Amino acid sequence: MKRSTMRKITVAAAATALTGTLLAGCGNDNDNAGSSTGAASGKPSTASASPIASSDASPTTIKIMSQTVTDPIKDDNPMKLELEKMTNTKLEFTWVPATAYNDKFNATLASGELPQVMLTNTARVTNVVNAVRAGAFWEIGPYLDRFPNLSELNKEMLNFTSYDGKIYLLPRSRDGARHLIAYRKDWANNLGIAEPKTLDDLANMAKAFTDNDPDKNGKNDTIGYAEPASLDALSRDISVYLGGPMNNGMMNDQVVPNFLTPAFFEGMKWYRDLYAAKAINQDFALLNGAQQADLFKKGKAGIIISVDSNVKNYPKDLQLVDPKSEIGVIQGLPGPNGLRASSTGGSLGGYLFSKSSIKTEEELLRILGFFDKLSSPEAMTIAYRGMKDVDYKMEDGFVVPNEMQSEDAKAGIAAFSELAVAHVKVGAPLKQNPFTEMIVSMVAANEKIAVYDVAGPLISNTKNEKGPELDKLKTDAIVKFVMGQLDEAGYQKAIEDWKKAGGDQVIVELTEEYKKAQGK
Amino acid sequence: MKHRHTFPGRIFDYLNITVLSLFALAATIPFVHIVATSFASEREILTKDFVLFPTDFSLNAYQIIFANDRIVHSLLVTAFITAAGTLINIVATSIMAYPLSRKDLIGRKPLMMMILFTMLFGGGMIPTFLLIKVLGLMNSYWSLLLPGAISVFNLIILKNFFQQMPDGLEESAKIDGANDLVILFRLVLPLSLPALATFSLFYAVGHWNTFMPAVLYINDPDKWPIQVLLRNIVMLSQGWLDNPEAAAEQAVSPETVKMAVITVATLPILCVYPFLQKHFAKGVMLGSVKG
Repeated sequence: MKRSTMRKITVAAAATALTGTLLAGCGNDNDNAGSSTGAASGKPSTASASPIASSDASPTTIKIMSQTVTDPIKDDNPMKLELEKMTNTKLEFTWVPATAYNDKFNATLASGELPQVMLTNTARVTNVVNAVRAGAFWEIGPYLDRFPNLSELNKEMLNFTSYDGKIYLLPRSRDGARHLIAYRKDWANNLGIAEPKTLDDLANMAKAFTDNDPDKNGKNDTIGYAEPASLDALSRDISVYLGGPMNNGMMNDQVVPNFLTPAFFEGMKWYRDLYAAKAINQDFALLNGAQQADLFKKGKAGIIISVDSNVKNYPKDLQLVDPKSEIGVIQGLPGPNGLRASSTGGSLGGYLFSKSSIKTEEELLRILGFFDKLSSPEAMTIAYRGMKDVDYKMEDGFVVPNEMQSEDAKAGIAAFSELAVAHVKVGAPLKQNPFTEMIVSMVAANEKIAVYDVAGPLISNTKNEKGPELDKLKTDAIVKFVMGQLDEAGYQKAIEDWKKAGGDQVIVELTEEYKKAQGK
Repeated sequence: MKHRHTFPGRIFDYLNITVLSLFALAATIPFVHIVATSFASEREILTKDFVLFPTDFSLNAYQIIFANDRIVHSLLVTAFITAAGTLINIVATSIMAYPLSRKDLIGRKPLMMMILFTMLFGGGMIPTFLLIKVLGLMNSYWSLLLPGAISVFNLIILKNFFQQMPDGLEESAKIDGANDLVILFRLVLPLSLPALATFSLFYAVGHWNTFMPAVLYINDPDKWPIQVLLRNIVMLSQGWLDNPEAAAEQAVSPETVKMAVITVATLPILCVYPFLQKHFAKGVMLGSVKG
């Protein structure tokens, strides 16, 4: 063979090999991701196995994938060791940064090799629904009653997160009705305004805060009411006060989204009026939630509707800006149907139990046993407060946390509060200042009068497929109406467009699902 | 500018300088603001709208982020990924571009077609994830280094660059008894330093900012690059994922800490720029002009 030919072949081979490397960087096309989960078909046995492992049994190893926002917990973290001892387990975590959890979850779900226990934040989305229906996860409903703490879980919440009437998801119990109205009491006092009793009062207060210089600095630099682009408070609060549904409600025997209801339209008019009076920040369509909170925290806006945990922190932040500031909190404002509050369903995501990596019923019961023991008062106190006498002290039955949390406590609490499926109030109560106590009692009172999303447990394929584009049509129309760029006829036309784009189909599907569920 | 002595010419120069300075300011002010905020006190951030120079100087934010070795550790991880990754990129891109630039390569056309195909069609996140899993690269640094070791775009530019080398160069080297590898490493690459410097920078910045692959393929928190930590801290304070219910579960870092982390994560790669700046303009141009 001539040298030159040899050389050509060598070079060709080298280049081909490298093409291979390059192709490795791009996947082959594979369309049917997400349904290839090998699941064992297991029906719950009717025999009541004793799930509580005796204390002399060796610890159960549990592989859990969950999310973290801080440094992941170390293996020798005292909280972890203590809880492992209490529950007789060995926990093997895969921590995923919370900001990318959903992508990692989707990829893991598609790969078919699932950890035994996985957190999901997107339990109602198509790929999860399909995986559940394909039998990728254990149906845990029949087993819950065997456990002392898990059987205490709120039935309404479990139903809310069920699939086709069966329970696969172990939801994380959290407060559902958390929105409160916060306002600047010192400003109201300056202007001689009493605490609002109706929505009209609130609107008038917002206008007065805008026009009458409530901070008495001689400048026209305040607005009444802070709102972000999502107009969250319109759909979650104002329209609900006026008698509208939470997200979806029944109208003419159909499940319809809230923005088709007359009450929601009243709410939009309330906003439109405030916007025209410049009492809402004119740039609301450009702001996110953090920027909305900043308006209030920096003393620019006098009213904000927000979740309780934000409201708890406002006084601290406002003190820095204005030491004379004082905050009033209102549980809600009554409309034509009295006082109402909306609830997100009382849970925040939850855990799914993989059939491919939990082979037997016995194993599943042991893993559920871990979540059950984690839901006991002692374990929940550790999960949310850390180690007794190290991270907190007990005073008259109340937890008093240290001023400065240790790194271990920070990481431990971040980790185990993600794992906790029981409500934080199961653990020992926290010693709180009067302001925070008032907020906690208001949230509890709202929970009692809460309105739930009737479509919460319902699944609509069209909604899952076209959700983002439909939402965009809806949001644009609402924002434009509030800003006065659309009149009522224009809004109605936008709604028609929404219906044509698939909204009608969503209504039909949800209504069918609803009737199916009612028929049970 | 000495060559322009006419009045209109000078006007034009001053106008140019003004406009370009304004552009430069517009590009630097956001970064100055971030650095300034990281040195300001919490109180100053809340009371002022915009900080360009902290009056209430505080190192508090830096004390918080350097309180444990997490940030430093991640920075080292990122530095390793950037150095190793860029080396792999440059070597792989050159030894692939060189043969493709030779007209006597067997199957050159079909190879180019295949390469272009990967540029136009990608598998997407989940198929790639499955591939990495099957290849057994999960949870190893290789999952961040090997996929995308060759950027098609850079490959094509480099190939064209090699094609412009005078044929005589290679001929004479061959007569002196050099084989292909010697020609590439002793002759062609040293002559292509501007181009290589440019691609090094492109690749290095890409590696420095690697986030999504790390989250998807790396389960061990000790192997997380800096961007993963950074994004966690920053996204959380931006009403993360528009879910106030979820955001409220988390303790949000103060604004100053956020800015301090951005500063620490961005400065090292910024320091690389000045050194490659002189090659930069030359390198990008070279592949595009037919000599």
